[in-house]
Amino acid sequence: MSRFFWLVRREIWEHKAIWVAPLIVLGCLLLAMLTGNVHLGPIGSMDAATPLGNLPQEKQIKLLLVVYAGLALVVYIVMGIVAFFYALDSLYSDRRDRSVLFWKSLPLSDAETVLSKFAVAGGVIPMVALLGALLAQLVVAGGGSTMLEMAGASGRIMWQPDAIFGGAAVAAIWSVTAVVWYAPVIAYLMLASAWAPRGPFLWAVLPPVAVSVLELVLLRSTHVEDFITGRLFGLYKLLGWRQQSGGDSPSEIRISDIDLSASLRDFYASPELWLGLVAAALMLAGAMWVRRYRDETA
Amino acid sequence: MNDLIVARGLSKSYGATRALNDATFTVAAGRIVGLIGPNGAGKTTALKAVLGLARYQGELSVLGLDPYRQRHSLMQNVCFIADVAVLPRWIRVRQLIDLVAATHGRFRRDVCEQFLSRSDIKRDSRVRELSKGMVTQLHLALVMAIDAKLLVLDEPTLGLDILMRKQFYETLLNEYFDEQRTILVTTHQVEEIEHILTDLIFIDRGRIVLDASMDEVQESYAQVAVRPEQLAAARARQPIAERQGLGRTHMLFRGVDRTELERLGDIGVPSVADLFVAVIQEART
Repeated sequence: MSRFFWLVRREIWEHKAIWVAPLIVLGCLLLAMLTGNVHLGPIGSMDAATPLGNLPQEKQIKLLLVVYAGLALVVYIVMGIVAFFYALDSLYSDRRDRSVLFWKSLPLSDAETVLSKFAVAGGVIPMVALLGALLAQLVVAGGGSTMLEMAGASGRIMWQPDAIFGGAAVAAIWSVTAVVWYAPVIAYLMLASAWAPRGPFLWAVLPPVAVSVLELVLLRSTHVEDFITGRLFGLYKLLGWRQQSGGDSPSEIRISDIDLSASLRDFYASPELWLGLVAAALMLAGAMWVRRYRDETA
Repeated sequence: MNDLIVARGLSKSYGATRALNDATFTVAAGRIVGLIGPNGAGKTTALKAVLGLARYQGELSVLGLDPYRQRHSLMQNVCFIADVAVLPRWIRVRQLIDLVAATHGRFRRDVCEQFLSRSDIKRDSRVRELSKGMVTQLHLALVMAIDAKLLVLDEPTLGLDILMRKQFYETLLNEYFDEQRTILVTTHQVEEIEHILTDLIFIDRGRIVLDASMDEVQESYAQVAVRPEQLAAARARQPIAERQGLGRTHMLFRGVDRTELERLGDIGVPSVADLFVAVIQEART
């Protein structure tokens, strides 16, 4: 087990983006807070006719939840991009610099290697993302309350436990949900990374694009495209969050419309999720096989 | 007989080219074996087969294991340098040592530190900040600190200057090698390793053209500086090679009686390089 721990550490040494990217996001957020140059959706309205403090508490919490969840989403999108490029690079970078034969001279099985990299993409990066989201919420809560105080209002409304813990809970649920949903995407990218003779990005992206275009041209249908976009963007549809696009003024946002627990129940019962996990396992096994039997020096 | 490597009828093709063609050889425990051949002779292919990195036809057993199928078990006891001075460039020296220590049960950190203490390598440097010679020293320090039964080196001194090459082989012989260990090494620079080798395997165009111990080689091959008046008599003995030296013609004989050769001129031990050229040319004709 400690070997596995060291292999995971190795990945974090090599791929600094895993912790640098969230720090940059937090840094930008902090800078925006300090310069007061921030327009965080509904909070921006606090100097308008209906300051946040004048709303009933229930509405305040809903508003803050949207803000905190939105922050988590920003961090997750950034970390999703990090995970994308990490997975794409994971089984290719040591082939590019030829150090793969050094790694292969150590008594490590290729299964261990592939699993350690998958653990980083599907475990470490989401955990860092969650931590980043929580810190971002604290930064905004701190900044928001300071701004409120300076405007002569009470800053304590930013720190309402229901909003803070509610935001944290949403962030945590999203991170787990995103991992199980995107596991097959990560596995696919790792398979491409293990297999690509060079330039894994093109090898990963071109085949699905080419097949989609071919289907469109030859059959005039979009099954492949629908399948791919469904996997990449369908998470939100599956979770029923499209209802959120209801109102555009803060008082009309009805987060209560979203029954999170019911959505999650549907999500974890959906065959798409479980088929995706099976596909992820198969593609990971494929990545191990390619890594093991590929002739590195030919 | 304790053979670590037994290869019988080993073959491997890349497309139309046969990198290995029915190669048969053995490597006994406690030997330092030089696998020597011209470029593209199949040296690296043979090593890759031994290390379980490439598929092959024929029979091959390394430490009693099938290297292709049982590569993971094999790597517990086998250590190799396939590409010297190619270590991950982003890693720090300290991190690299930590990693090898954590993943290799037979790695001895104190031995590695001892080798490193003789160099100027800083533990906090990244590999990409080190000179090529330093990366090689680091790689060797890591590998020599692993208590492996078989060490495989593919052109270990490529790109090193002559001082470092000499130092490398001295360290290998004096501080690493013992009767428990076996070393299989390929190189172009035959002159530098011939005094440390115990066995020779010559390979050309995928075929093994010589597989013998140094003792056997010295018994059956002899180089004679032929006296001018004996030239015709010497040629009649069918030397396998002939070249002009300073005032004398040097001929290489195989399996000719010593007393007979003494009549032709002064007998010397052929250098591995001369032997190599002669054997390869003979095999090609």
